[in-house]
Formats: sequence, C-alpha cells, structure tokens
Amino acid sequence: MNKDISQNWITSLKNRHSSEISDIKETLYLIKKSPLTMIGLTLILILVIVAIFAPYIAPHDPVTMHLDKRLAPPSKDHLLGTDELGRDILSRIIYGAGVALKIMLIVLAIDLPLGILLGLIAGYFGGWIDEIIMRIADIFMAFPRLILAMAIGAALGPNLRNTMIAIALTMWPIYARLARGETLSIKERTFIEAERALGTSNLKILISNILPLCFSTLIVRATLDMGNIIRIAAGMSFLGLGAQPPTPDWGLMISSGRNFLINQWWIPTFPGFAILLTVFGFNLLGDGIRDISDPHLRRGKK
Amino acid sequence: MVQELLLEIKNLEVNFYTYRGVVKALNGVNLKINKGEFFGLVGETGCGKSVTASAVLNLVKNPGKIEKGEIIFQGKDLLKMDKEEIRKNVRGKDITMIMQYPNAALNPVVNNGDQISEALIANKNITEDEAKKRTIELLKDVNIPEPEKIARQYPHQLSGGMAQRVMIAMMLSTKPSLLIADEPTTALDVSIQAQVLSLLKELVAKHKTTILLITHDLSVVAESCDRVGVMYAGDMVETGEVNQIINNPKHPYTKGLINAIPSERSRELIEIKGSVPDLVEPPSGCRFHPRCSCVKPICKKGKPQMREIEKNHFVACFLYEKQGKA
Amino acid sequence: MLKYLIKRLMLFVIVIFGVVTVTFFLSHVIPADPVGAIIGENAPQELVEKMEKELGLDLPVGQQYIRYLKGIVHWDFGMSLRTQRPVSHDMRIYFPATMELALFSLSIAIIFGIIIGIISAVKRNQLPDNISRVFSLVGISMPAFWLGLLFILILYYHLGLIPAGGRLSPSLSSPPIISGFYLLDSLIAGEFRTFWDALYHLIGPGLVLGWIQTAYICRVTRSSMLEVLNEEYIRTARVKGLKEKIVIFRHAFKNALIPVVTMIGISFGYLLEGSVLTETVFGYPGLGRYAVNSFLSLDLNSVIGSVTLIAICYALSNLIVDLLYAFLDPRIKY
Repeated sequence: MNKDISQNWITSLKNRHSSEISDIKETLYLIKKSPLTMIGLTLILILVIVAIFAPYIAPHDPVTMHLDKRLAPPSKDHLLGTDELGRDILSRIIYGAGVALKIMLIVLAIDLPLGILLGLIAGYFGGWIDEIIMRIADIFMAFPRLILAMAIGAALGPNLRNTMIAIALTMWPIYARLARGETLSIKERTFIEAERALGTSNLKILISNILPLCFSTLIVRATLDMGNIIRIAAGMSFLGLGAQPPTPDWGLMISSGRNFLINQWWIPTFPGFAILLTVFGFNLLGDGIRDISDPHLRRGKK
Repeated sequence: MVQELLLEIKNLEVNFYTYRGVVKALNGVNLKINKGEFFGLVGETGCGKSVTASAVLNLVKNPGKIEKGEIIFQGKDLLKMDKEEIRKNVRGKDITMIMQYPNAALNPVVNNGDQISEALIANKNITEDEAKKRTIELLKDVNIPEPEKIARQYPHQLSGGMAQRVMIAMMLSTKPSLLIADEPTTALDVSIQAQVLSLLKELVAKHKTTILLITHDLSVVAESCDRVGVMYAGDMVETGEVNQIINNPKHPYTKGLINAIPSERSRELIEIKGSVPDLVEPPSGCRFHPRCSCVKPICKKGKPQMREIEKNHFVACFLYEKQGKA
Repeated sequence: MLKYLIKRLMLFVIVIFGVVTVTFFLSHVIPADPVGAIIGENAPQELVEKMEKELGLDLPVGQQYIRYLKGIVHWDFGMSLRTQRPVSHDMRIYFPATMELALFSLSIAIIFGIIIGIISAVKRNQLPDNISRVFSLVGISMPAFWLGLLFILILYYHLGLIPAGGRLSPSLSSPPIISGFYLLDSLIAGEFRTFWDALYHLIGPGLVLGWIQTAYICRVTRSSMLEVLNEEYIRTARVKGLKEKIVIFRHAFKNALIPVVTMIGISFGYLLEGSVLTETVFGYPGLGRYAVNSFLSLDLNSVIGSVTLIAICYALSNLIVDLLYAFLDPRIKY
C-alpha cells in the first residue's frame, strides 16, 4: 500500500512536468493555423503515398531499358521524357520516392537510438563516461557532415547501405548532445530523486522516466533533420559514392543525366525537383513542429 | 489649490486578437490624473493596469489594438497623433516609464552610462560629452556610489536595486511631466523596496513629476499615493483619494482587496472568492458580479456607471446607484 | 579569459588529434581495396606487394599509425597516386581556390542573409516576411549540385551570363601566386583583365553557395531578432523615444547577433561541404573537387590530406566563433 501511495505521488510530480506538446487539441489547432506547415504535411503525405503505391502509380517499369526510346522528350506516353537508356523518368522518380524515404528512415533508425543511448548514459552517469562520450561526439562533429559521410562511404565501399551507415555515423552526436542535455535537467527534478529514494534501479529510471521526457525534443530535432538526410544522401549518390545503378535514386539520376543537361534538359532537371520538393516538405513540417513545441510561442499566442 | 489636469483617459477600449478569440482587455476605462499627483492604479494581475499604461505610451504589445477612446495629455489627444510625432515629442520627453524587472529592462550589451546618455541625446539636443557628464550627475542623484564606475559597467553587474536606480535615473533624465512606474518594486528584495520607493518619492517631489504607479500591492499605495484607481477585469471600478479608498472602500471588490491585506487587527487572510474571469468571454453586466457577495439581478444586465458618492470619490457599482442620483 | 583560451585551444588540439585518428582508421583499417583501385584488380602479385610496400600497407597497424602521425606533424601526407605530386603541394594549389570561393559566397550570404533576416523579423507575417521565408526555406532545401546544373543550363547556356565553369578563361594565365586568391593576386600584379575574369568565374558557383548560405543566415537572423524584439529592454528603448532605426540596430540587432555569429561559423562548414558538390558541377579546381576525385580513385594519401585540411578549417572556424562571443556579449566571462 505504501508503494502505491508513493507511486501516485511520483506520478503527480511527473505530470507537472509533462510536455506542452501533449496538449493535442492545441497542437492540432496550431498546425491548422499555419498554412506553411499544412503545405509541408501535404507534400510529405503525397510522398509517402507515392512511395507505397509506386507499382500501381508508375506508368512504366523503372529499370527495364528501351534503347529504341532513349532520350525522348516529355510526351503523352512519357510525361517527363526518358533517359539515356530509354527508361521512363516519371516512373523512376515515383520509385525514387521509396528509395529516399527508405534511406531517411533507416538512417534515423540507426542514429536516433545510438545517439539517445549514448546521450542518456553520458548525462545520467556523468564523470569520465560523460567526458569520453562527449569528446568523441565533438570529434565527429568536427567534420562537415558530407565530408565525413564521404570518407566513411569511400572507406566502406560506395553503395547505398554504406551511405546510410555513413550518414547515420555523422548524425548521432546531435542526438547524443540533446539527450544528454535533457537528461541533465530531468535528473535534477524531484520525481527522479523520489524514484531513487524508493530504490528503483538506474536502468529502470532511465528507461521509464527519463527517456519518455527526452522524446519530444528529439522528435522535433529528428523532423528537422529528415530533409537534410535526404539531401546529403542525394549528394553522395550524385558524387558516385552512394546508390549505384540501376537503383532509381534521385541523386544518381541527376548524376547520370548530367551529361545530357544541355540537349536533354529533362533528364537531370525533373529528379532535382523531386529532391527539392521532398526536402522542402520536410523542412516546412520540421519548422512547423518546432514552432509548435516552442513554449515561447505557445505563451505568445495565449 | 486649483488642480490642473495632466492626463485624461476617456472610454478607452483595447482588444487583443489571440487564437482563442478576442480578449477584451480594456472595457471603456476612464481616468483623470492631475499635475503633480502621485496616482496609484491597483488591481490583480491581468486586470488591465499595464495595458492602460502601454496605451498611454502608444506601445500596446502585439496582438493588442486600441479600439476606441481618447487619451488627452496636456490638452492633446495622443490617439489622434501621428505615431512618429508621439515618438519624437511625447515618449522619452514628456512621458517615460520604469518597469517591473529592471535587469531585463536594461540592454545587456550596452553599458549603463550609454543607455542613459542616449535618452538625453535623443530628446535634449545636447552633445555626447555633455550627455556623458549629465549622466554621471543623474547617477549621483539616485544615490549610486561610484557613478563613473557604474556608468562603465554593464547591467548584468548590477543588483536589482541598483538596476532600478539606473532605470529611474534614465527615465527622469529628460525631466518628463509624467512617469509611469509599472510595479517598480515588486521584483526587488523587501529591504530594497522601501529604499527605491522613497527615492522615487523624493525625486518626484524635487522635479514636480506626476507619477502613475501601477501595483497590486495596496500597502505600497497607502504609503505613497495621493489618489488611487482600482481596476477589475478591464474596468475602472473605484477612484478616490487614498484615505477614502483605504478607510472607506465602497466597491465590493475594493473591500475585498483591502480585507485581503493581513493586518494586525485580523490575522486571518480573507480571500476574494473565485478567480479573475476569462476576458475572451467576460461576464455580462458588471464584470465582478460572479464573485460579488452583494450581487443583485441588475448586476448581470447592465454595466454600472461611475458615480461621485463623496467629493472626489467615484464608484461604479449598482449598490450606490440611488445614492448617486440623490 | 586566458584560462578559457587555453582550455579552448586544448579542446581544439584534442579534436584535431581525434579527427586525424578517425581519418587514419577510415583509410587504413577498413579500406576497400586501394591497391586494386590503382593498378587494377587483376594485377600480378609482385606488383601488388611492391605497391603495398610503397604505401606502407605491409607494416603493422600501430607502426603505420605512428608513421602517419609523424608525417602529419610535418604536414607531409605523402605522394598523391593520382596526380603523382606531394599531397601537400596539391593542397597548396587547390585550397586557396576553395577559400576564395567560400569567402566570396560567405560575404554574399552574410550581407544578404542579415539584411533580409532583419527586414523579415521587423515586418513579421507581412508580405516581405512571407517572401523571404519561402525564399530561405527553398534555399535550405535546395540540393547544391542540382542548383548548379540549373545555373549552367539557364545562366550559361540560354542567357550567356556566366562561363561554363573553371576558374579562369583558358586564354588567360593565372596571376603570380602570392596569396593563391586570384582576385587578390591579380590586383597585386595589376592584371585587371585577370581580376574581372576570375570574378566572372566566381559568379556561378558563388551564387549557388551564396544563396544556400544566405538562407541559413537569414533564418537564424529572423528568429533571433524576433526573440530579441520581444525583450523588455526593447520596450525601454522605445519608451525613451529612440528612433525605430536605433531601436532595431543598436538595441535589437546587437543582441540578436550572437546566434547569427554561431550560424556563420556553422555555415562555414556547410560551405566546405557545399563546395565539394558545387566545384564538381562547375569544374572549379578547388579542394572539394580534389577530394571527390581522390575518393573516387581511392587515392588514400590525398583523401587523408583533404579531409584533414577541411576538418581543421571547420574546427578553426568554430574556435573563432567561440572567441568572438566574448567580444559580442559582455555577460560572458570565461
């Protein structure tokens, strides 16, 4: 019974600190009120739908070559023209949506947990563990991201899988720093003290108390990074260090279409629009979510 | 002594356009301040005291908007004046303001001296050297030890009390006719509060400046003000001389406020029941009626008008309608 | 202050040491097949062994590392297998080109980013703000390499406003090298035609990088200004009856500058990575293009050299930013 009472007490302490973003009604209201966020959300929804239903939407196969139809300008049959191997550009762009999304999700799936884990450990235990983890993070952040990703990608060998690993390895320090910062501030709060006084194990405190509270900050940051991941991956593919043919990757399409820029402008141009719109959509959404989760702004509107 | 009118606010309405709807922050406020007076404006947080002050300076914060009314200062309606004209000829010159959090009100990256002298340069047409010299004198006037050193320092090096003195020096530097003091002592240590307040009184007497003191603290009012206005939820509910308000409050809200001061006679703290209403949908009629202990049916219907119930003592409450008429 | 300086410099050294170590591990411990990349996968065994010996790949990892560190301390990265010249020599040629491009676009970005950012904040939610927000969001979403291609297609091919690429027209020879910056060296030598030609060649890649950096700086300036404009001391400045111009520049902007300076530091890093893509597209002979070519041909020594140099630049710009804070904000006492 005693345990129950103390648990209730801890819960009430915790609720006092719950994030403002959990006010769903207000959040939805704020999203709806921001037309730019709505545009971003729409772009992303379109992207996701296109990626999922690519086989049903795409008019042609993205990989099969038709050498008799190569370098065809946009027409009724090929709305965005064909490339140097006679493949339908629209279909390749449609399939490319899935590639881009997959890259982004896998990168986040690697570096979010990695960053969070290291950040939690550094923040919670402090001392030399903290020092070592954060110095390593400093070193990784001392490289411009694309350069480091290129170096890792080149060392591991240029292919899509290694590109994803490389990008993930350049991004974890951001999440580690954020998670560490959050952990440091949460650690000092009363309800954590209370849990400790009750003899809860460190692991349990980390997982059930600190982790959930870090989450909203990290999610906001991850949304802001989604566009960046796609952009960097496209850059790597463009340089020949990422996806390899015949993957319908947007960056790769621009790279191989580069030689046809002057006479067959549609080959490198349209995949670029796809990248731009996608990254733009993610950035709009990320901005919107950041603004909404910003307590300053929330107070300002009241 | 003939009282000369300095500032008259007539029927001032201010709305804030927020996502929750329109907040009717000021609901037709009337106020008269005479030259040389120490006028106190009291009420709970959110009652519109500060908005009133902002409106006088034409600095209502976004998304607030002055809907209608008149603010007559030295015979001219400020609301009919051009924005640029107010900035040039009124703000900083004739009307200034000191704020609740002096450390936040001073610019962290400009040194204390420069913040004062720039007010002088902007409004007094003097050279930089003269302004610098004058700044040191001003700092002396507010009892700051080592004024030269303080002038060179930055705001973060000052204590709250010191920072407020710098603010006072800055805002009195141009010898304005009206100084608005928005909760000038609330954020300070109790021991410093009295010092700052008495400094303010002393300087005001010396320069014959009129003061509009905004506070939620009736004891501060009782100590320093000549006349008092009590605001509730965007309405002025009672005005009068300080002893009339303190010793003979008429409006149920004023009575409540005064009862809430812990005194030696009654150790018990009597709170006013309920809380400040939401001004997006303010209560009908008299905005105080949901919390009023003497509420009558009429209170829900109409807005009570200000009536003079004794000399210089006005109250807006239906309890006194008949007496007013008589 | 001195104590902080020492501490900060120590951190700088640690980071550089770490960078060098990471680079070593990437290039020596988990490499693909560098020898095969140079001489072909089916090369005879003796040749492979000879090559490995030349590169020091036959030594134990620990010895390789020490040899490697010794070299770096003397700024010796060995020979580039691709260009058959010492890597440090190559970098001395290509690095100033990249710096010239980076500084050119950064100046564009700082000027326009700050001006547009301030206007945007002051006219919040009005037309100029909405235009600049979309413009800068598009900027940060733009793949640099694709924008470069569009510039070549439109500005070069259709409008003839910029040259196709390179750093100087083939008819001109480079000015005598003093700083390695063509703009500066040509002026020193009094070769004004070369100066204009070099400037003409900077426009394309400079605008691509400049737009993207402008976008970053503009966004930070805007949000930082918005935050500052809400501060109480801005109200104080207005109460004093100061001109709006003075309120915005002397009182608001001075405070808003700190995050902007951070962003300029960070954006220097973006510039370096942007230059990799932009230089490739415009055929601009800079460090970025050099790095890409080294990566693609697995030219180990020049990979290490260019990555190290880029990382040092980036770390240096972060160091400068940190030190700048002390001058910008009197509250910071190290």
